[in-house]
Amino acid sequence: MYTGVESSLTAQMRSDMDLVTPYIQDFDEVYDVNVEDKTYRGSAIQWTSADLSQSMIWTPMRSRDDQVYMNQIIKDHLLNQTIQSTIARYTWYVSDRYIDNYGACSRQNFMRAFDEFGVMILEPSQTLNINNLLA
Amino acid sequence: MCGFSTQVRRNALINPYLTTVRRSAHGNRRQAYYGEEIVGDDAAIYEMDKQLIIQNQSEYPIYMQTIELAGKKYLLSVVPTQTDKVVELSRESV
Repeated sequence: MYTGVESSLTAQMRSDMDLVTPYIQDFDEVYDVNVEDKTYRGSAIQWTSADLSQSMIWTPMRSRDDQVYMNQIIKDHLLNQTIQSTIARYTWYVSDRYIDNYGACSRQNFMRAFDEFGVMILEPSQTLNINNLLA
Repeated sequence: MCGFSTQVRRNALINPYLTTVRRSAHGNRRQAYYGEEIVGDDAAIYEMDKQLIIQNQSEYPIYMQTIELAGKKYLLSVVPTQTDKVVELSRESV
């Protein structure tokens, strides 16, 4: 249950994400795919569809397997018209933790922080203090 | 928890509508945990001494969510599709 007053745009965004996220989470296989429709900007990667209506900017410093993985997710979802049109309304920025490394904190702390963050919507000009969030 | 704050920091780097208002780097001793000696993409947090604060600088809401895919954990930030800003990143190593 969501509380508080949301703008119509925020409510629409939340609804769209509720629709799309389960499809992303259901995908659990990695395929080798054609990467010709990606453009590279520095060490970051922007995935853009042929008609320029959809894009995803992918974090730098990751393996090629991971790049392929997420692109395949998108390609699969494009087969579903509803998901396709929903994805197309947004630009997605994705970052992962350092592969095989939990950083200086323990795995347990990382997992707790990750789980507690969950879903967050930042309204225009709103700030988020990660320290407060995880206290 | 610096692993997660670093993940947030990295997302704020690639999303042009998220700005890092306050960030602290790790000391040299911890730097190695954050991989490949990349400068500036980690975020240390410790009580109130080392904080990470990000801000939405767009005119739209930004949706952020943690998800797990095939055993890996990802942080998404999502904005309504716009074409006026992109981020160009390059690696700088020490």
